[in-house]
Amino acid sequence: MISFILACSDDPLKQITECLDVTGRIEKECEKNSKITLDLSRLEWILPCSALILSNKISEVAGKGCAITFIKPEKPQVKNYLESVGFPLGGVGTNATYMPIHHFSRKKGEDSTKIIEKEMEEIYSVVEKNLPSELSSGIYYLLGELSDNIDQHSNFTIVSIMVQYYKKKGHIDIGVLDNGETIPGVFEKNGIKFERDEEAIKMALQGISTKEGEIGRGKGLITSKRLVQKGLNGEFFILSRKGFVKAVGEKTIFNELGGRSFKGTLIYMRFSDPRKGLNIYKYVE
Amino acid sequence: MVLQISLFEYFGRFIVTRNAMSRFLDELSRASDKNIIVDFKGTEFISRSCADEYIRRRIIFKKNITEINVSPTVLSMFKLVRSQYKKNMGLTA
Repeated sequence: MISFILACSDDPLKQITECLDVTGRIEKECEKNSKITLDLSRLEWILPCSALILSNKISEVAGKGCAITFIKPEKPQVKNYLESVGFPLGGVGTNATYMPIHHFSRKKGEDSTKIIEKEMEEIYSVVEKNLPSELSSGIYYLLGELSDNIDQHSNFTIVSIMVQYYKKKGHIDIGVLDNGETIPGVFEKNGIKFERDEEAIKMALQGISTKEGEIGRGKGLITSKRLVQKGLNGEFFILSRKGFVKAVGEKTIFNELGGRSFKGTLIYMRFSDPRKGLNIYKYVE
Repeated sequence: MVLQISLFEYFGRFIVTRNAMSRFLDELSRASDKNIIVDFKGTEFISRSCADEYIRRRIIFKKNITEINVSPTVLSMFKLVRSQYKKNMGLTA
């Protein structure tokens, strides 16, 4: 039995590090046993990024044949929230303001481009149906660039995406996660030198790309960050292997994940509803 | 001969990945027709990466390409990419 409790905190880094301890245990248990019980009964608070990380891992180990049973959260708000976002294996998008967790997988050797094009058509259709139209250009841009990055570099087996619009609070959360080769991992593979994983992410954010030399390449991550940070006055987080980046306001902070390692890349964004719409092109040039 | 091709029929409403656009252009380059009309009717969104691939390849394409029915949203993305090119290379795309 694995107990899943997270700090009642709005700080993604704090929840993510706790979440990684649990996903690490799930992985180990899966290697030993095929049956795992995950106890969520004492969970009092969960951020979308944590729900996404945990559900991605559950989906991954389920794909390996490990059966996971759950003890549901006792707190009704948490239980209802997780159900509404399609935790853990994904939702169907019927809720009016959610694009629930959407997983898609790829077997070794399968064409990632075909899979991503098909899945993004479905995801965009849910965003179009469930979220206010004035938000769609920004969300389409972000999802487009980040999913193209996954196609170009990740070699994933599972991708998990969620978009949530909190109408009352007026903010939007977007998470895009893949369990592929990570930014530092791809740099290493291509002989791009760096000392620490957060430095590799910093280099990616400076436009250093494995496709260097081709104008127009390596801009997806930078422009997405700029759009969220400057255009939407939001928060932009990148978690890739042992590196963690938090960009808020004028600041971008590069950190190590405190001895932990994430087997993949998560881009997590939170921003306010721009209300009157947003000219994204002003920020992504 | 002129070949007219619908992006909507090829991709659907959304065009997301650079690789998908690259494959589409590979197919166009193999066509026997020298003049190609790319019909954007029904294309609601093109990602920056896709637009970049299209513009980059179009510059060196050995056939005549004409675009029709380009929506304002898609046109804005092409303008963005063209301005990035001009900034970086001084090219006119």
